[in-house]
Amino acid sequence: MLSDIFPTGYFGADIAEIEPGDTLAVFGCGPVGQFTIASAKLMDAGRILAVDCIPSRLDMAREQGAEVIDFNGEDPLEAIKNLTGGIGVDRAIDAVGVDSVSAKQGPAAKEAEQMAQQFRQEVHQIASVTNPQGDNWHPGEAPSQAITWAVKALAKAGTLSVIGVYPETDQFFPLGTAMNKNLYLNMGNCNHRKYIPILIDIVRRGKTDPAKVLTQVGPVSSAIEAYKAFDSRQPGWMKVELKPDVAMTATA
Amino acid sequence: MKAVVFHAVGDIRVDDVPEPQLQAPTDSIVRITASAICGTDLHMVRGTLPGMKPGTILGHEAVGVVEETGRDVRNLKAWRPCCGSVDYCLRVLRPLPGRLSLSVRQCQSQWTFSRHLLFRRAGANRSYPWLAGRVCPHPFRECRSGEAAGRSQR
Repeated sequence: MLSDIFPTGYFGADIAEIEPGDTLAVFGCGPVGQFTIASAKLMDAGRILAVDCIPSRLDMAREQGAEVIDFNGEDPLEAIKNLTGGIGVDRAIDAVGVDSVSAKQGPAAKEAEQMAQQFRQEVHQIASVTNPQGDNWHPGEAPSQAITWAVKALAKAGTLSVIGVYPETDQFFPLGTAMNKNLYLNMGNCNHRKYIPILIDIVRRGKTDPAKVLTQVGPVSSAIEAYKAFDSRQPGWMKVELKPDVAMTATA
Repeated sequence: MKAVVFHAVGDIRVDDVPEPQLQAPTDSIVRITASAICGTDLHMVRGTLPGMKPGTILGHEAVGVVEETGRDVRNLKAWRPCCGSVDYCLRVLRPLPGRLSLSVRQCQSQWTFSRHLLFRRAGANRSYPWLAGRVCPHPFRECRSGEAAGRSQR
């Protein structure tokens, strides 16, 4: 965790320009999203709204103290608007990236249906070669969904932080909405060298426990099955540690 | 030794791969005690991070014990624990609080660089050694063993 995803989450919170007391929205409650939430707490964020559609991931976010929003149960933008008194959030962090999905049910599904053709064109342009097999290796069907929600969730002059991975073939960003909101945009790949020493010290002092995000441990020989379970977002599959001579077991 | 190898989009396998050798003065060989599966790997397998080369070993999160160092590795010593993540762009990104200050030199090629060179040579999801060429190993100076480093990582 300290080698990549905690630094990445911390980097996302750092470049979100969080001031103590800020309200922020974290899109994506996967492993990096969880560490983004943990990092925002370390930076004294006031409120953290966490958006995802996987109940087990939302549960973990809630256990960290986030106010969770299931986009298959409610329109996330409406929920954020209501929870912030109509203002929007000070900071938004996209911890999803290119494999974003849209709402399959609930009030947000209708808009997703209207956007379906555009999303398909985005996928086609971004990923020219795909090879889905059964439940696995499907590209996210709505590449611009998370980033668009993040831009729209922000208050005027808020800060957008993007740590979700987008390839160079991705050209889909809601520029006009962002420009007219006077947003500040910070994004990129983490510079691990900067953050690892800081985070080792934080962990050593017991201010946060990264092992809470770990859900399975197993050997390299079981790695493909583990990749498949993680890929299809099976409940309870958050973070897999590979270790020699250990049978695949759940740790949480 | 075993490693998770990218063969094609939608096709990854655990293969037997050769033991790593030092190839550049900045390389180290690290005996991995634990590594992890990352969502970034999934983008590569799904095809949404295009440009992967067949033969690339997946994985970029690891903790372990240094076994061998090249002559330009000055901050690590054999048999000391370290943890490392692939350093995507080699000292190019220097994020400052609240803003990014970018050196233009290699940023445009960072992913290409990492995918084709770093990941190919430095995939972490192996059963034992890791050729840590141009990664950012962080020494655990207080730890005495890889197992301790593993616990620190967790």
